[in-house]
Amino acid sequence: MECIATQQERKVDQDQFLRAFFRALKDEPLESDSAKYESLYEDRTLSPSDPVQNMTNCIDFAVLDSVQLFSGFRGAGKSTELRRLRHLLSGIGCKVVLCDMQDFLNLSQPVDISDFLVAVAGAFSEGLQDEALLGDDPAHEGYWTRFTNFLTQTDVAIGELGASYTGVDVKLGLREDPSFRQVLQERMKGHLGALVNDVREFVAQCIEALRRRHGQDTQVVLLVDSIEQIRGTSINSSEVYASVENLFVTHSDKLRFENLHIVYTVPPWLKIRAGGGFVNQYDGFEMVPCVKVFHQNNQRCQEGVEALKNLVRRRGDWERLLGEDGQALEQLIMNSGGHIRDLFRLLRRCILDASNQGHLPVAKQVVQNALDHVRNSYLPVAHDDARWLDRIRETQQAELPRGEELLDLSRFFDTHLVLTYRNGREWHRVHPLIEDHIKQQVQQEARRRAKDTSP
Amino acid sequence: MMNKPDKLGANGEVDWQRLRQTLRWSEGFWVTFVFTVSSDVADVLLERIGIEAVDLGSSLEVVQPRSLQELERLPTRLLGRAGASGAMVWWRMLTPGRDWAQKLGECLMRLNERRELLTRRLGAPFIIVLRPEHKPIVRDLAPDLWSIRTLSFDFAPQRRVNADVYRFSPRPDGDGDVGDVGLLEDPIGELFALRRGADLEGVLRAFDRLENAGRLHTKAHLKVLIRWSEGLLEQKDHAFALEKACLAEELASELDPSQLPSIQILKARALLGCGDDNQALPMWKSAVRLLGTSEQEAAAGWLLREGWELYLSTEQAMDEGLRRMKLIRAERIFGVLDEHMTAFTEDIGGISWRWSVLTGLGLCLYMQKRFEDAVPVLLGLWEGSDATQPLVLLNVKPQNEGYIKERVYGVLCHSMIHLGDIERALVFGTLLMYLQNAHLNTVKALNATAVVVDLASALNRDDLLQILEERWLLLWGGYLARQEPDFVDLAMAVNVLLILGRASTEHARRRSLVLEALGYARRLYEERAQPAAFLRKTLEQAAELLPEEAEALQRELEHLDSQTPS
Repeated sequence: MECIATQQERKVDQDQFLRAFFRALKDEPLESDSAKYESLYEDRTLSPSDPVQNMTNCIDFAVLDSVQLFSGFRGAGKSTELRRLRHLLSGIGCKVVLCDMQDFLNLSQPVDISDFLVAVAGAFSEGLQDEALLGDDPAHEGYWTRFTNFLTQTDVAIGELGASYTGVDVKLGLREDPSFRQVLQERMKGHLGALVNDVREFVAQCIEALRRRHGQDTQVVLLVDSIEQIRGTSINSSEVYASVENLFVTHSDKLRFENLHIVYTVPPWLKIRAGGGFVNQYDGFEMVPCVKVFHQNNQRCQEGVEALKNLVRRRGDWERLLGEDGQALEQLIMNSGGHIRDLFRLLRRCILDASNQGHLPVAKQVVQNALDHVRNSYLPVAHDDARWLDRIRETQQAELPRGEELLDLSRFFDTHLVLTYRNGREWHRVHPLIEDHIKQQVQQEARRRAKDTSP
Repeated sequence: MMNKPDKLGANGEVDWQRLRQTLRWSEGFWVTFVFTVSSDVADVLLERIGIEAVDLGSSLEVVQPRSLQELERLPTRLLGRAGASGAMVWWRMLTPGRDWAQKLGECLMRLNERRELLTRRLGAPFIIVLRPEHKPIVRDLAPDLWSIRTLSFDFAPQRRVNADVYRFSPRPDGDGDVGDVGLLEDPIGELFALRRGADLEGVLRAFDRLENAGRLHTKAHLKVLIRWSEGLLEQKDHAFALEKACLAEELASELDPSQLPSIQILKARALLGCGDDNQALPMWKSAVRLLGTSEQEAAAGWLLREGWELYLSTEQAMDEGLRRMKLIRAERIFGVLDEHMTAFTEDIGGISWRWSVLTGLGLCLYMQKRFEDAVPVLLGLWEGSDATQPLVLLNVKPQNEGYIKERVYGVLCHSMIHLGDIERALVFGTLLMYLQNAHLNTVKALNATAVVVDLASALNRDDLLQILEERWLLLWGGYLARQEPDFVDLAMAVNVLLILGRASTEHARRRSLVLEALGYARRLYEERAQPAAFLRKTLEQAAELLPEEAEALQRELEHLDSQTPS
């Protein structure tokens, strides 16, 4: 009886452990003071510099204002790092507004400088309503109302409703109604200068109000998140990409505001499309790469592996789950390519199977099953894609054949078929889980073609 | 509720355990993707997740757009909520076709853009059920949602003939076994031989090989496609059946347009199975008119069966949303049949259409608490027909026939209560009581009796007596006695006469009722139709109700006891 009771206790304890570990792997942005947060930028082997610290320094050292771009791939920890940036900036006395542009713009439509400025000003205005910033300061005029007044003053009629648009209509229209944005963009063409001036005046008034309330030396920072998510459909993709390029390359001057530090998140493909030179128009361009688990010569980067082991340790006792020798965890880490979400997915899968099988640490087969499962989620890969990916595999470069194919390249980045690393310069690698598959697929296809064309 | 492990297969069951554990362990919002072509698999998972939701103290909201417009509105529906309801959301989109895939892509893009808002609005598990060919759409158009997925699951249908069943182009490296050659010499004949041998799997495999071999002439191809679609429908693989029916429709429009109506019925069946009633029912309505009588009857019989299957499945639906959706679907089906009822003869193959259709429609309306709509439909059952006409239902098991009848009486009784018509409620309550007695379902009969007594208390006793005498006594008292009722009816009559007697304030009336009951009870005992205990119980109740007869009744009891030990 005692033995059975002990077994039951052990089972309950194991279930609790697995459940807690599973829950700790939840995908969510972390605050930098969270117990789960693991700094991945302290070790210079992993990253030549800390992108967030760089951005903080840039703002701290800038005399009046600054504009920086921040980029990174999905799941690399960008949102978490933005929160750390906010934390660091608040620590040096800055007043920070973090706004999510998905609440203000339809991110699948081409973006124009006019509607972008309106959305940024509207987002800034709403962000300032935070009690720690301006709260319900009666002197603070909301931007949406101001913009409708601007339309009236400049006799700009939008659609049949004309000036009867309310602030709420404008906000909704920007986000939900493509035709509204189209008409707005069209009508504002002749009034862009006036609009830019009006937005600048509004921002200046906001900063003045903030400084009145918090001190004249207060530095104000606006973090504009989610712009990197802008993406076209198969129908309008080239138009959307061109619009983003136009916005950040041609209109960089209009994205700068006096006495305001701004950080815009931008898609990683922008640098490839616009060429590296465009970043010189900004005060900084920082990128969050994947955690480097390989060196460029394909050797294991032990520092990266150790960093990820520490990161996992903050979520749960991996030794108990995967074995104290660490081989199974390292196998998962290497196969994740340093893509944290995939690593967490692999771990979750191992935990679920451990729960069903009841053995800890898990058997090798469980680890293999998890790898197969996540690998399958990347497959099948079309032959055309496979050939391109194989070139990337060989050269570790993006190998963009033509500008029109940027959509495909961005798709590779978005879906993590291609991972990006940095050691001073950026280099790419096909996701390790499918690397061999891609190689074999291309070889098989080549053999088949040769057979088909042989006399 | 029963689990159906055979529907998921061994690997599917393992994946189900993973999904189940994920449901149990996860907190707040998370998204998972389930890929399957089989609506059966999706149904099984939905049922099980519904049970899990109840176990976890949560609920399950089922979202299943039935038209492209509904699909288009889905992001607004999900994102436009006031706040997180905490209910798990099950979004199923298994309808094949380019239009649906395109709309799905747009929908996913919108949700992807608003991922943060979606997280806030749902605050609970979000399970997205799609076809395997939708996976690239998710990956490419909703990379954020895809990226944050907890896990994804691929559930293969158990019917799958082989992995290449999706392919329509000829296979360069086809099986090439001897069996193939034999089939191709007389493909249709061979197939029908297999069909007669009830080897449906064999037939489906053969269809696959035949088509992939690409050596069928077009007319044979059309025939194969029609039979293939029928076979797949039998296996409830509606999505594949739809694909085959669509191909058959294309071929038939060139080769033999006369076959189009029957192919469209096949399409309608497949579409209905896919949940697309908006396309299926109008298609059925337009096609059925063009069919011959026997084909019309078959098409109507199938639709009636679908309606009843849907209705009966609502009884097992754990989730309110799912139940309501099924009821609305069933109501629409019965509604279409009701519109077309005059097109059919009163009875087809011994089936009472009037009863089947109106009962189904009435029950669907009642279950949606639309009492005012339900009552006229159900009362219409008696118009121009005998109220005791047996209800014969397609695909309803024999034991369900009585059940449906009971449901009708019970539904009418409760509807009348809701509508405040106590008098008629009493009549149907009594009918229900009779029926349940007739089915020897004592517990239910007692429940119904309690309803009748409660209803009676809502009226004054004189009214009650009048009603019971006019309706019930006519039906069960005098009627049963005069019509040589069977003994079960008579035993029931004894019970109800005693209830009536107890309710009667007028002594003479009470005496008459109780003595009549006693007479029946003695007859039942003498004819060995009821045990002594039945007579003993009646005597005891009669002694209580008629004190002046107590002494005589006591002596009769003692005599009975001396003959048969209690």
